[in-house]
Amino acid sequence: MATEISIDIAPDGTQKLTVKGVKGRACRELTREFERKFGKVTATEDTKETNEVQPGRVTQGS
Amino acid sequence: MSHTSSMEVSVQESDFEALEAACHDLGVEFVRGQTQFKQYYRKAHCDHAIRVPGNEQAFEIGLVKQDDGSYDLQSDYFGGSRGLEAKVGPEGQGLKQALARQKDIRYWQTRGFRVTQDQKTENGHIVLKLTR
Repeated sequence: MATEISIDIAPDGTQKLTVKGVKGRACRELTREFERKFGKVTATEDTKETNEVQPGRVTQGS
Repeated sequence: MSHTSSMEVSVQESDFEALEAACHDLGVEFVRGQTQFKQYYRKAHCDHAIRVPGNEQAFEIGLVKQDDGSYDLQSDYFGGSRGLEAKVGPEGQGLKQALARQKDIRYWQTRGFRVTQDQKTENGHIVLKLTR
């Protein structure tokens, strides 16, 4: 499945970024560096897929 | 959908190429190393500046380096700033929007994404979609 990033930039320069097609922690990993470079993160919102496991990804238990 | 982040754009030294491109988009000029910027009644110190080419009366934007390494965009928007605000939007918000667009596209393109939508909507928002 393709990864899609949607960005809505408001007239005042603030923006909202949404990632589709990446589940679980991989989604946060994808945007972490970008968020640090872009500026100040004012809010984040998890969605249903955030807590799902990315197919093909091995999760190591203790 | 996995997660959504809301963000405010900042200016770092690594953003200067994106800032130059954003200025070009709006018809203003980023001048590296200009150490004063024009306001209503005086000039003030800055590290770099943004000016309106061909309009010597227009006020300017000063980029002033902060302790954390980022740059604050300072200007005097009194009375439309003699033509500056018409270029960069109310209180420079249009410049921040153009800069955000340039930063977004540059960052994600270097990570293998391609732009599939780049559109300004009727309500003044810019909508980008990038796919990999």
